[in-house]
Amino acid sequence: MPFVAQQMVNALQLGSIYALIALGYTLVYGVLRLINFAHGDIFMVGAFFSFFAAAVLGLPFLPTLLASMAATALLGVMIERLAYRPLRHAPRVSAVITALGVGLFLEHFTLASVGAQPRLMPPLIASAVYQAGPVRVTTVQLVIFLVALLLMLILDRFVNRTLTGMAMRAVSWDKSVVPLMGISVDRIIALTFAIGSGLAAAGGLLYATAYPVIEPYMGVLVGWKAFVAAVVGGIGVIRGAMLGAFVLGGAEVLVAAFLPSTYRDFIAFGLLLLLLIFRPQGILGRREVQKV
Amino acid sequence: MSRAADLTTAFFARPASWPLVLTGLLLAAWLIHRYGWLNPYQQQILMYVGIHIILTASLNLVNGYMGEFAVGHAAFMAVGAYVSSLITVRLFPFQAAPLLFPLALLVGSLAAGIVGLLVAFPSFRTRGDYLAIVTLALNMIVKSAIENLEVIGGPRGFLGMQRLTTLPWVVFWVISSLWLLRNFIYANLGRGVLAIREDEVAAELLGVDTRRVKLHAFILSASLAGLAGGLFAHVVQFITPRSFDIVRSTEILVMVYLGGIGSLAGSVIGATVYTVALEWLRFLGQWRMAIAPLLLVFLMILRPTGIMGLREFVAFIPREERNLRARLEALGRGRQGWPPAGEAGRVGPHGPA
Amino acid sequence: MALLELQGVSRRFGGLQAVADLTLQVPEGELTALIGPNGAGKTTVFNLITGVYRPTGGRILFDGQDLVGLPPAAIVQRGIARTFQSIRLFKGLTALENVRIAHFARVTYGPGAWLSRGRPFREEEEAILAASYQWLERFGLARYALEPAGSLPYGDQRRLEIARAMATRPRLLLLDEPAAGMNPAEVEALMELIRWLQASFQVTIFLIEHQMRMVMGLCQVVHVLDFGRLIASGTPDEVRRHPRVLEAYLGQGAGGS
Repeated sequence: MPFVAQQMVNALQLGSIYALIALGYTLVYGVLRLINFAHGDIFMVGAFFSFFAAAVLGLPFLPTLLASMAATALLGVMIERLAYRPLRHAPRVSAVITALGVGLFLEHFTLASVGAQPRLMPPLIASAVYQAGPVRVTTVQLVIFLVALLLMLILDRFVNRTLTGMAMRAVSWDKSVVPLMGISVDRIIALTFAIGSGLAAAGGLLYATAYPVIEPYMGVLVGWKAFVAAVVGGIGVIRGAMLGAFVLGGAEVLVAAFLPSTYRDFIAFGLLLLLLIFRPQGILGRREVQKV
Repeated sequence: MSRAADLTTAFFARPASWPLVLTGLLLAAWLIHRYGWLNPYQQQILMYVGIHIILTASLNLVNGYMGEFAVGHAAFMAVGAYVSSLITVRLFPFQAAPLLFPLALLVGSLAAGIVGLLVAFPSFRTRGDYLAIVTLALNMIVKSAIENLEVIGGPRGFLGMQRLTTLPWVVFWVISSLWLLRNFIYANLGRGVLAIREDEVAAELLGVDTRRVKLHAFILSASLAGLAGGLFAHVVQFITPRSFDIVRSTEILVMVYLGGIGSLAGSVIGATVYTVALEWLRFLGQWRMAIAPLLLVFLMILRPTGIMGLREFVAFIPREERNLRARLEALGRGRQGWPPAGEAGRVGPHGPA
Repeated sequence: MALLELQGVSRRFGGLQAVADLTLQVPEGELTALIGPNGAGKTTVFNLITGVYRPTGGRILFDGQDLVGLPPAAIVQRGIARTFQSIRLFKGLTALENVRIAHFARVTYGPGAWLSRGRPFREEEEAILAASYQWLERFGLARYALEPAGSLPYGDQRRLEIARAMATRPRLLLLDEPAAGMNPAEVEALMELIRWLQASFQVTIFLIEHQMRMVMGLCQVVHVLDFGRLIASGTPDEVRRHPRVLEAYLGQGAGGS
């Protein structure tokens, strides 16, 4: 039993990070119906921004978090403006290919400019271990969980309670009527990219805090996993992304606990395939009725 | 330009022209190989070009002609590479391997085709984004499965293959693959493929058995990718799961959309331009790989259908389909149609001229 | 003798009863219309007949055989073809290719033939080409044979859609608002075309239409649908005077177009 509880803590840690990244996929998909395949690499860039803020500028945790979120949000907006906006009325495949291209560009640009050797993230949080009953929790885990939870709560309230959040939901519902209500679709989309990228940067910093080795390809696998989480939860559904992330995190931790850890990816993507066969719209997704 | 095009058209209108060109190509490849007219490095690049042509054309069938969006083509390549390598290394006696090489390639290709079924079935129900996810997941699963199979080297990879892939073989398999794809596309199932791209529901409601069409297209596409994988494995002589990850798949996508969707000529151009350009850009070091995706982004913004964009070189179109206009004119003499003769004057503005 | 018979057919989408306990007949060789206000469930009926949706209840008999559960392509092979309310041509393909595709299910050659492109293959392909071109000629579309279907004028696109449907050689042709978006002259030409089709190819026609003028001028039998239920059936004159029909249409200008 203590073993299972301990694994739950690990699952929460992994799930929190996946959730922050998965939200970016789901938000962008919601407003643009675009799978932003570059998002995993935006997460990686966010981790590098955090690394520079912490290691080069020597900032403490909170300023590092805010600085890297802001810088990455700006990057996200720029990508949208330069690469995706010209394609908004093009066939959707063009936009998806572009997203793949942007992702590869970010990877290899980072590789060429900072080099391939992995960097070590300096510890920003004094490590201490708390014993809560049978379970050991580290400060790092607590911080990860609390920061992720806080950001998700803010996002949830923002989307559901504010006027701008409502406009965002309106855009994802029907882009054509929104201008009639005096809302600029371009601004809402830019904002969505900013929020999604900012959350990815937070995910990047938290990831680097938990697993302090960062390198240009780190976004590939983590990004895809987060994407799986978004799909499992029902892509386009914000709460679905969070749910999917914790389901995936749980599944992976369980696999790692009982099987050789190399089976992790196998299980994660196998889970995805099974889900797509039996419930293609995801756990919380709505099924679209075919129109003839 | 148009004069050159006319000459090409005239040349390929003759029944003997294609056999002539193909024999010439094969002969040239053999001479280059036998007498070392090009150095081994140049020959290797040409072989990569050929392998990439097969990969690009096979993915083009699904993504370009059928309008689906499959993103995990490297998975099939991996299956073909590993299966054929296992056969040549573990099954065949060392001396006989060069002779039996085509057999190993075909078995590898068949195995990849069977894995292709795994994508074909989900594609019956979903398309677009979800098919992208399914193929992506398959790519990850195949890679992860190989990593967990210690008998074939696991994450460390597999080696021991002889360098069985030679330039003449590559030319031979490229010609065969393109010929197979061309004959498939310009026939009944191929028309079904185009119909699915244009409007799957309408196709189904015109009697197109979309499941049969998809099954054929996915299996054909996957097995050709498997063939390319087998050729690839016997050039590099060392394969690891990482040789077939999502980055490789993306590269194939880039070649498809660079050359042009729905075009065999586009696939040849895309694969050639990409492969050769990357070699030329080698002096850029690591920046090289940053420029390639950037080019892709520009391409998507400026010319989303690629260099050829649904057009085809005359040479790649079967003769029967080429002179349609002339044949239709021959068919269309003195037929009665609607409206009945004499009533033409009463037809609205859009009636027959 | 009814060629098509719907027996108590229902279809629910979530909480919405799109079609409720619908029973009607389409007599062989005649022109039958299905009319009703917007959102009455007319297109859903066509989707149920052609297998796009599966009924939640009831039977659909075509020539005495139940169609329920068959995939759309199999239903086409039994002899039912249709057009769409919003034109669904293969817009990027030529007009000729659009019609050629409709021959898909009739092709008999196998893999050996298309691989080798030998004589049996070429002969069958030649026959398909000739038949397709003939359909274009019959509909006065031959000059567009090698033009992309999407570039045709609107009225010709509608006609090409009918030509394409006819190329599957149906016994029953379903037309979903064929006159939508047409001006009076075009409607007149379309009515003539439909009569000509029925007379020349012995095809039974079942059409959804909004324009009463067209229905009254063409059809022998009219079924009226409202909120997924059949509220009246009969000759155009009977239906026009039916009180429930007047009531259903009143909100939209009784009996108007």
